[in-house]
Amino acid sequence: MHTRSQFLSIICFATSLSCAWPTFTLVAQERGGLTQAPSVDGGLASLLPASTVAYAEFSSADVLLDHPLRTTIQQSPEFLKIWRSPDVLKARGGITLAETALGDSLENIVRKLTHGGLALGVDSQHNGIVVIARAESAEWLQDYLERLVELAKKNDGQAVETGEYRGVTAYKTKQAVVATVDEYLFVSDKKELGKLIVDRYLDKATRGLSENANFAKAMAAQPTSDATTFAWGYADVQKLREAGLAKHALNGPSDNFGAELILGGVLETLRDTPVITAAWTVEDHATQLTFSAPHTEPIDDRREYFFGPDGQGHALPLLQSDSTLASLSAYRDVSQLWLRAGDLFNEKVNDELAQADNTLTTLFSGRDFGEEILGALQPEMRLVVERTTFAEGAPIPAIRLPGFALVTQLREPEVMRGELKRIFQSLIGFLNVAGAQNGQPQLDMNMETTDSGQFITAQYVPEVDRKHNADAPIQFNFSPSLAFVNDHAILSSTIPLSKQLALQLAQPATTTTRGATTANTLLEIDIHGIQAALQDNRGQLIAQNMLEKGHSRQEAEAEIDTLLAILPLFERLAMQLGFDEQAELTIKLQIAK
Amino acid sequence: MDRTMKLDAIDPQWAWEPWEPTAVESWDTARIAALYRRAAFCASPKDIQAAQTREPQEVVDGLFAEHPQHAQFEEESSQITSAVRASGDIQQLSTWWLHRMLLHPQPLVEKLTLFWHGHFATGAEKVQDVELMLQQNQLLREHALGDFRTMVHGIAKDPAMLIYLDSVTNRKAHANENFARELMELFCLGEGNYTEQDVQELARCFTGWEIRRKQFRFNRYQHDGEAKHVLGKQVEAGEEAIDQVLSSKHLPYFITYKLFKFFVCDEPSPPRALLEPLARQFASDNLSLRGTLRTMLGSRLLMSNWSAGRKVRSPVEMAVGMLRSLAGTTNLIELSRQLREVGQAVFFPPNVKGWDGGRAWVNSSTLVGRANLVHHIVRDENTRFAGGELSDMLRSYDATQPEKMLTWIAERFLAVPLSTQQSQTLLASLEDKPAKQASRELLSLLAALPQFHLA
Repeated sequence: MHTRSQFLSIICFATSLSCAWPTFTLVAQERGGLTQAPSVDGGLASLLPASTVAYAEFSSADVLLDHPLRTTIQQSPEFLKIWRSPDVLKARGGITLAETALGDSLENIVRKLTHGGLALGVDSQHNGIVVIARAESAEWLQDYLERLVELAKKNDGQAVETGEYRGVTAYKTKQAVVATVDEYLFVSDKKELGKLIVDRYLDKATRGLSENANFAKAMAAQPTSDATTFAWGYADVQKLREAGLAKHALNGPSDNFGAELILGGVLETLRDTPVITAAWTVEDHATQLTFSAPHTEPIDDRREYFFGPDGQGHALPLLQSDSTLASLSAYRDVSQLWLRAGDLFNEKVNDELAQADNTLTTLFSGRDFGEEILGALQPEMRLVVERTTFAEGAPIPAIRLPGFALVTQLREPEVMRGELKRIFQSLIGFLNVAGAQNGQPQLDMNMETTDSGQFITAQYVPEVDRKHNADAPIQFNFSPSLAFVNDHAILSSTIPLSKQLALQLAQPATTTTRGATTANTLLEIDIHGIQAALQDNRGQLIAQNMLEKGHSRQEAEAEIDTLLAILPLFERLAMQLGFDEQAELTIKLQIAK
Repeated sequence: MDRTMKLDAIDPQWAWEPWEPTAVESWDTARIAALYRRAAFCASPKDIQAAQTREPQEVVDGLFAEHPQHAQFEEESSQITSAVRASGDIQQLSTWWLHRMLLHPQPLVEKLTLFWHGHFATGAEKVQDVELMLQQNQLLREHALGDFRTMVHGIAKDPAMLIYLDSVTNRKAHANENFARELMELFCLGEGNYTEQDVQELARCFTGWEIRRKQFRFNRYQHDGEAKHVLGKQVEAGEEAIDQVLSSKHLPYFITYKLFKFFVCDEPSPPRALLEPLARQFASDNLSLRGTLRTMLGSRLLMSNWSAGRKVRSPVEMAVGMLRSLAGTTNLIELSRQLREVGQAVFFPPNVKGWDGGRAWVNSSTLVGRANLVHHIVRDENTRFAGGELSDMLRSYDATQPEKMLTWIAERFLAVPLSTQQSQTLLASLEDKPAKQASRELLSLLAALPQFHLA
């Protein structure tokens, strides 16, 4: 256990030490006669009481501080610009003064303090928080704390009370108590909790938190840790639920259709699961966060739309285009969600859905929207978002919006193709009438059949004298299209995207195969693509920044350019949500090579 | 000059002579600030600094001259114009203009554009087209200091105006009287200076004037070619009829009257004799505005103590003025929303008459709203003063203690001094507060006082 690490918390902790010392409270000294460090056989968790409801442990901050990304960031021109800016220089001046007083650099202090790892626990019995750090050596820790106390006293003269408990010198301020024993630093916001930790350490307690049945189960279920795992956390959701946390969100009817559609299965899991665990791994070119929560109860019928029959609802493989920004694939039986709305949502949402149902039923030529229209679609849905490109000589909009396409499979393709075609035509006609009334450009419709499928398309017609307009209205981002490929339907905001996807779907490849993945939801975001799409709209972003933040153009440019420079440090963000015996959400951030 | 003197007792010749410092009225920070309160949206600290080393009439001339940073500002603003145009969002227009009012190096032009926007009032909620509203705004700006005749001719064919007045079609069989009526009543002559017959005849002159595909078009087949008489003269085409209206002897008085109300004093109405020198100048300048405005803004009447506090600040003047006088910037999207709440969303005048102005800006409910508006600006995390904290900005002018802060702000922003009791109450409530908090709170507290709302 103690090989696992801490990282994020360590940084936060170190920051608080350096920035908030005037109020920093706790410092401890090695007690008089203790020269031999007692072993902590059960790991840092064994020092925490069984009533701990949340626990996280981290390995040495070296994992982060020595990460190649840090060097890349530090060498980037944007970082250097910020690093040398007057505000940062001012802050750095303060840090340098503190470093001088402490006799070491902040980075070294963080490294030494977290050398043997760090743990954080939240205890329900004492209603308190405890932090345990295992430093490089008892001598260093002792020296560091003495300097820190001196500095704190010099800074604002705040009273730091010194006391002793079982031969251990402890320091107390308004916010916390601190004690060190050997190379261990104990910090708690509750005095009694602090004492308990010292007791457990001195008494060589071995079980502690591991006595908690839920924790023991979570520990047993976690994958074997390896060198890349730098953080692991656990939360006793059962206890938190019993304490009334998120009671409404977990048990009451939902008031948000979109949230239910996206997260309904996660909420279902949170309602029943006893624990959640999280693991964070760091490699040179990727960092991954995985949340796991075991299913202990049968899935509620109301959320079969999310999990599928017998929990077997799986997403299809992701689709890609030439310049994909994001690709999503999910299992969601939207028809079932629509028809089960009465069980899932509150009255307000149900009223709105009933109203929408009426309107949509009218729009869809009197066919029942929930039953017949949504019911005609297979539950595997895919969405592709791409950076829009424009043909040479075509009008280019001043604001360039991404294109998107929704891909689904039809249960009765022969019947539904004609129906959807008519609806699409009506919609384009409606847009033309509404546009004409407001002097907006008009859509020109076409039909085309290729080897890959049938396309019903519409394109905005440029004004006679504005064909090569590089500042075209926002509408020119769109060339709506509906395509049919085998039993697939593609509803796309642009024709090129629908054609690319049609080519893929026409191939007998895994992209259309059920069971090719075991995930319920897959999402991939191309961060380089996002950066390019933002770059396309740099001028707009700068103008918006000037109006929204009151920045001068130079300030706005600096802020937007920093964002555009940071994004390429990362390559891809992927998320996967799976449900087998346990719900598992994995978020992976791939760092640019 | 006696502050209590009534308008009809003021000698018109004396009133419009250029103001010069006297033993009683000196050219100091407060007077520079007073000039900028009227002619611009308050003076920035840099404006004050620059004006202190120049003669008063030189400073007035400077308000009319193109600023060296004009081109650079226009380039910056054009980036925002493109963004607003591209977004097609009609609400963003107000934000775009607020940015100009706040940061334009020649604020007189923006202030006059605001005046003409209220004069030729056109509401974006009806026009619903960013491009057309921008086009009209640029027309007003282009001629704000220039030729009134050209401006009126432009407005008569302006798509946004004709859409707003339901005049996109004007057929000879049924002449649309809307624009003709407003041209005489609201834009050029004022009520009582024309007859109903003039309106009907003028409307016939505009038959065939249409808006198609967002552009003006003359449809010769719909133009009434029969003889028409406007203001006692036979006219044919619409352009000729406009010139006939512009040649009316009432026009110079009507326009100078409105300018007087906007720049000099809300009430009472000025007697015709007081306006006569201005009206004469306006007519002899062939309706060029620059000379008349130069006379008015540099005049004894406007720059003397007499005019202090005789204007109620509109919400835009109050908010933009406060920020300008403190070198402030803020979230303009939020400011635009707040201004709408207190009744002055630019591009969205309440009706064709524009904003009533004067006392109409303040009542028990709007006063609370205006104080809240200031409080919102002060509280907004995006609000910065000279790029940082207000207390830091004030410190750079040696205004470190609440008392000095109050003096510094009051001298620049308030037209009427605070009473001793008011000052003491304000300072007592800031006691023991850190400078950062005290400076921002001071603005919020000042906004609750009547003086804050006067110019």
